[in-house]
Amino acid sequence: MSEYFNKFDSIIAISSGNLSKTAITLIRISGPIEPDKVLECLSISAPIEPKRNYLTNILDQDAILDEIIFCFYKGPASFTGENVYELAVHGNPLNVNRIVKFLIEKLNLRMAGPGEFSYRAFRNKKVSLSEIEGLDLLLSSDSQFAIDQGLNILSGEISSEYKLLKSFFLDLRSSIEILINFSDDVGESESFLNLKGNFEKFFTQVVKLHDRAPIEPDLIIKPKVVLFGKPNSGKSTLFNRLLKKQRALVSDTPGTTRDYISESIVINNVTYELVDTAGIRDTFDEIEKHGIEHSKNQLEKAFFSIHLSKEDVKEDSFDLVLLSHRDNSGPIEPNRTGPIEANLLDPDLNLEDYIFNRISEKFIKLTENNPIIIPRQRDIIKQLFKKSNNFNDLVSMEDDLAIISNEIGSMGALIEELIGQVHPDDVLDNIFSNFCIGK
Amino acid sequence: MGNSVPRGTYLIMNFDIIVIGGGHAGIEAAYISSQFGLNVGLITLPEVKIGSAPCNPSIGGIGKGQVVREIDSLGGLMGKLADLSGIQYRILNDSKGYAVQSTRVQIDKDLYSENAEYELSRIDNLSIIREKVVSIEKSDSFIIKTCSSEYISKRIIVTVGTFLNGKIHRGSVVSEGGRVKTESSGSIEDIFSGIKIRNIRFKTGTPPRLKKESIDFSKLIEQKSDPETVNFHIFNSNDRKVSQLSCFLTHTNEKTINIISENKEFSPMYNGQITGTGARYCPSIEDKVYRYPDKFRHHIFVEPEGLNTDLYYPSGISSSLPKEIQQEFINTINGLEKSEIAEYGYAVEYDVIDTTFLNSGLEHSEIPGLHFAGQVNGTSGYEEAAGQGLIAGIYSSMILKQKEPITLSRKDSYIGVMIQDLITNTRDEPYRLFTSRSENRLLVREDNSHLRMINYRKKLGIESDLDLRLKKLKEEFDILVKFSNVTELDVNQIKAYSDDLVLKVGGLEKKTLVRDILSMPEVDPVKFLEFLSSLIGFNFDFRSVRSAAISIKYSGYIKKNKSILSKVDKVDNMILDLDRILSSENVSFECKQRINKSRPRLFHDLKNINGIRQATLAVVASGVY
Repeated sequence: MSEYFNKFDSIIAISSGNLSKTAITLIRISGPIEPDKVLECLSISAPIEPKRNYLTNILDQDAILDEIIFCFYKGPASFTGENVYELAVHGNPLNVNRIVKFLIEKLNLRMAGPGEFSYRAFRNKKVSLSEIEGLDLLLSSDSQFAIDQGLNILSGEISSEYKLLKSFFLDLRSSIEILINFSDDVGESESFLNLKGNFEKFFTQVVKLHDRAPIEPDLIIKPKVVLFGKPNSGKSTLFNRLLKKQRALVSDTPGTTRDYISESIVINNVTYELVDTAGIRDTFDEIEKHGIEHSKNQLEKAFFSIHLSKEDVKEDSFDLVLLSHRDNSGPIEPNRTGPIEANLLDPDLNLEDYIFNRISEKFIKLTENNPIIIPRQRDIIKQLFKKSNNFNDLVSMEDDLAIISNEIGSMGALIEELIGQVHPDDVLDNIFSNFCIGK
Repeated sequence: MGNSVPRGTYLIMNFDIIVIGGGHAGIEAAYISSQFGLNVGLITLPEVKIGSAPCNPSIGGIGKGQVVREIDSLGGLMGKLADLSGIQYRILNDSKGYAVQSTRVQIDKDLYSENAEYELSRIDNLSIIREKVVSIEKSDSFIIKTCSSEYISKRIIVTVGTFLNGKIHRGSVVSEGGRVKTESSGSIEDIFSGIKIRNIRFKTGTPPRLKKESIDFSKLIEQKSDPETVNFHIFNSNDRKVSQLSCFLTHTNEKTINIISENKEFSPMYNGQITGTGARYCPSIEDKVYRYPDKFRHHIFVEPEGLNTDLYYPSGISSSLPKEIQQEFINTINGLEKSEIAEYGYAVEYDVIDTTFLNSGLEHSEIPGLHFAGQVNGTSGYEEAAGQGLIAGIYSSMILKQKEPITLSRKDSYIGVMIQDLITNTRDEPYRLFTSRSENRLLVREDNSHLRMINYRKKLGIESDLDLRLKKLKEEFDILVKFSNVTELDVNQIKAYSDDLVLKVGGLEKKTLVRDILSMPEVDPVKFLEFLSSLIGFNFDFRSVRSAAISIKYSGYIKKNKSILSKVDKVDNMILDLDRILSSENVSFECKQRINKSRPRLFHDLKNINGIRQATLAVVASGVY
């Protein structure tokens, strides 16, 4: 069970996605905390009506922290079933963090765990139980908080693929049970053929799912665009150019001074984290020391990697290679910028748009077949893939049906984690309704 | 000598435990209770033999062989009786791996009953009472009335098989009775008011019996008794107590099938006369034909009912068609063209108890001291019945002896699987043990039944030769496992067994652990360890060698399973707070009803209740009820 199990304190979370510089960010509070207490840090005074928006200020004593829109949802009529407060604040991450920190201290709140709002909604019957059905929360104790992500996935198209997998597995298990218990009735050779055929069907489905789990879920959930290159290869220049370009596209707000070596960047409605590997000042020496290893690590975590270089680098380890400092054939010098080039097919397209297009293309390609992004499910599918790959070898070597059946059983344990229990009665039902069995 | 209560005298007698019904459940319940030194009465219908086998003449089979050996190692009678009357032995699934092998013994039915009667009647503190029960009342004790007597008992175990409201169907002829030529025992409400039966009836059937001299055996395929098969009883080796007979195989054909399909309207199963639910795994020939009309070839095993009897049992063609149609289709079968029917097949319908009211000792939750065991609980099979009888007997005896009753776990016994399945769930068809019902098939095997039962047996607190025997076998097993784990063989030693094996083990310099050789897929672990034990001069029981060799072969897999299952276990073994669940708003009314009925203790029990919604499980698992 999770650490959040059965806690009833008040929690806070930033509800509107990651900390990009959006105009408005929504902060939510849920718990037993009463309105009077919350109003102590606002410039409006009691009584307030639920479900009404108030334009007000957040006050740290007399200092105004921000001008916000405030709304109160009285429990149990709120979405978590508890008192819920929504604060729409200005979206600068610095501002948001400052407000959250202030509220935690002032109102004695706690940062919510992942999925904890949904969990409370579930606990207070606010999520209909039928939505939970189908999600196998039971067999792995850490799946409780997969509710959040799992619901979306399991109610959708992937769910039917899992169900198909389960039904193929049921057939597979049935065929081994027929061999053990009823081969007299069905016939020995027919029983073996049946096992073989059912395994092939099952394996095809495993492969199909495995194909849909090609990359680390994090790469899609929080995609990073990472700039690589030696010092002074032009990473910072490019970093700034990309940021500036997207700001012009998404907002008129002038950029503030950059404090981070990574920034949120929105391309075609998808938020990416743009990372300049050179900007990690604190660990700069560390990078020098473990240079290669570190880059490798960064590269693995990158959704889209851009390499800036004076010479051509083999393209296959990076998504994009840009040539920089083409005007300078001498050594790269600090504080000297030169043009950055890419092999642009369309001369009208500028560099930033070209890069944005490439990033979007990759994102669309990876998400178009609805990839499996819940880490737990992806792990299970990978394990299933490995196990069923080994299964053919096992069958050719081992004629002990108990062992073969045991290995099928261990795949069953994985499937149960994915889509719920496979009861022995299901297997027997399947056998009796499809084969003429009996003395 | 034991007491046989004379009929016709009005008596009032007191007992600790009374068992009603002298079938396979009743025998075990009465026998084990007597071993606790209690005063036991066994009441059985006068016209029915003790331990009679009204259907197939065999004990054991896949999954069931394990149960017989479990019963035997716990101190029950079935294994011993089967050996005393065993006329053909076979290992099923011989070539499919040790964990799925099971023993089946054809029995001489008359001998089986005689031996059962002998074993029970020689016990001083056990009385056999041949009377029909008229009523049962409960005050402080149970008062059981027959026509002529009154018996008072602290606890009772009801094992009435198919006799509750039994109805026999043969064509359009319907008669009262639990089986052919006997009366039924009336309905449970008549005998015992306040007991809930289920509102469905079960049905079972049996094939016509054939006269031996009318069968042309030369046309049938013979199956001889296997001399190697290890006897059921732990004190026996593979010696046979009586002479051995063969079974024979033949098949139905298109003509057989045509006759049956043409007469569908006369089948009580299909014209609406029978409403009871039969088991899909044990269909009548009508079922097979009507459900799979394209299949003409169904196998029939022709099995002797005994050494001196004239009757053969054609397994696979149970039927409740009218007599003349039974005769007609039988004579279409190869080898049975001239067969005469000595006893026609029939179907029987009977009431069953709602087993979700029973606890792990099969005691009724609303009437303490009252147990139900056997076919009345909706199971099928002599072995399933015997296993339940034994558990009910042990449980009620331990209560009377003021001991904590044992509960067999489903992790290490098939009996445990069965009891838990029964009490957590009602069934739509008769329940039979299949090996697939066990989550632990690699561990719950025949060869190690005595090792799995030894600790349960110890807890009974009965000291007998059996306990010494089990202890000795366990010591031998431990020595052999230890030996295999520490002993390395060089190439020459392996060569003495097989040249081929040397090649597989590899390099000439290499020494190999016995344990590792036993786990190799190419090696028959039993043969290898037998060879090694005789080479070394271990003079151990072959049961010990078998169980050690097979245990070692599977040990890697069993260990792996444990780690996979441990995650499941953590949730499964969560103890439920029933009061909280039943008062929770997050649990549907229907689920609450089911939960209240079967009173699950662990999450695993809850999960296995029929019709429990995923949502309820989610609520309980996450603790938000």
